[in-house]
Amino acid sequence: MEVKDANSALLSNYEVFQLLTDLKEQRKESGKNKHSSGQQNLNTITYEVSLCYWRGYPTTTETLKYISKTPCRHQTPEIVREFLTAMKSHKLTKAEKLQLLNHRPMTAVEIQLMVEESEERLTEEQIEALLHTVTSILPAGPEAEQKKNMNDMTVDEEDPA
Amino acid sequence: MTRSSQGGRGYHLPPLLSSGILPGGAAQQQPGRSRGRRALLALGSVGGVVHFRYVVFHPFLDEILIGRIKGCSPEGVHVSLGFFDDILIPPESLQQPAKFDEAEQVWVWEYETEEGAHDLYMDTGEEIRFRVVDESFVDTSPTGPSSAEATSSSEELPKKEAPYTLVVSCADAAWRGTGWREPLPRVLAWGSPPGTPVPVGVS
Repeated sequence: MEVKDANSALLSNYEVFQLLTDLKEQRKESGKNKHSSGQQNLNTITYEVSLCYWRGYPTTTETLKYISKTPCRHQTPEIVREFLTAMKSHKLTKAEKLQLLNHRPMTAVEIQLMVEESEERLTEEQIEALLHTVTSILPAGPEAEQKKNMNDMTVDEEDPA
Repeated sequence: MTRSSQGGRGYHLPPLLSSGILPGGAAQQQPGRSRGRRALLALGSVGGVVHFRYVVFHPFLDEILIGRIKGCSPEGVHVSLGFFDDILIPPESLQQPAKFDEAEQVWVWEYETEEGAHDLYMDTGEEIRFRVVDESFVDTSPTGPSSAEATSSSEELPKKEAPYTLVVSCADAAWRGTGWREPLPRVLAWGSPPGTPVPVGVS
């Protein structure tokens, strides 16, 4: 086997989520269709091919389980596009933008973890602006929603001193 | 944390087949139309060159991830992501000072405040945020026939190694979903404790 390109793209959690969800659907579908013999043969091949490649099936379900609990759960291609457009003005690296997209940080502390040398590159106002962009464009993840519902009375504002 | 690579390890996409597949049956021999690729000649099968893309879990250096503590050992804290669990936080990358409680087999962070030391336990099942510091790939491909025979003739089983392991740090990134409150990680985020590896600049 020859590796043609070891790193052809960085994928966001959302893209992996979409891919795995689609493949899961495909797998279900190929079990169902039983039309002409031609179609059946194609289904057999698709199914057998998918079998070889789905030895990793438990891995796939586990991955889907993990990713479904992250903020990418409610993302759509339009949201991702809007987010990346809004990010242009903040001058962050690709890796940093990817992390913000995957994690949807809600506090300054998290921004500082994900953005390299953030104390030098971003002022407090810029961090606040970044937080605002992130939380307004990206929908909350399932866990954040749950926590918010539980803590509605006791949420205290993070003081970026 | 996931990358797409042409040929590699990890999760597999259904291959994009570049040669025709014909339903099982007689040998397919098409030398004239093989486009430079040789078809396998055998009853009921066809071969060809296949190009495919792998989707692999491969976080980048310094990436922040959230996982769950799987357990502790003298080697450090073992963390799992569910689908991948060869993740280790070595003792020096825990928040310091840290000590290993032999009785309970758990790592403890002795957090100092004005009121005195608080013991914070790295309990199994707790969520933890960490930073990727290092990775190691080990070739676990099966060895050839001669060495396999030698192994089976001796009584021991070869040690099972994980093909890919991550070494991570929670010295500046740690956060736990329950129990720990925001002010604690904040103290660390402003400046990494001495001894924390300095992140390599990302361009």
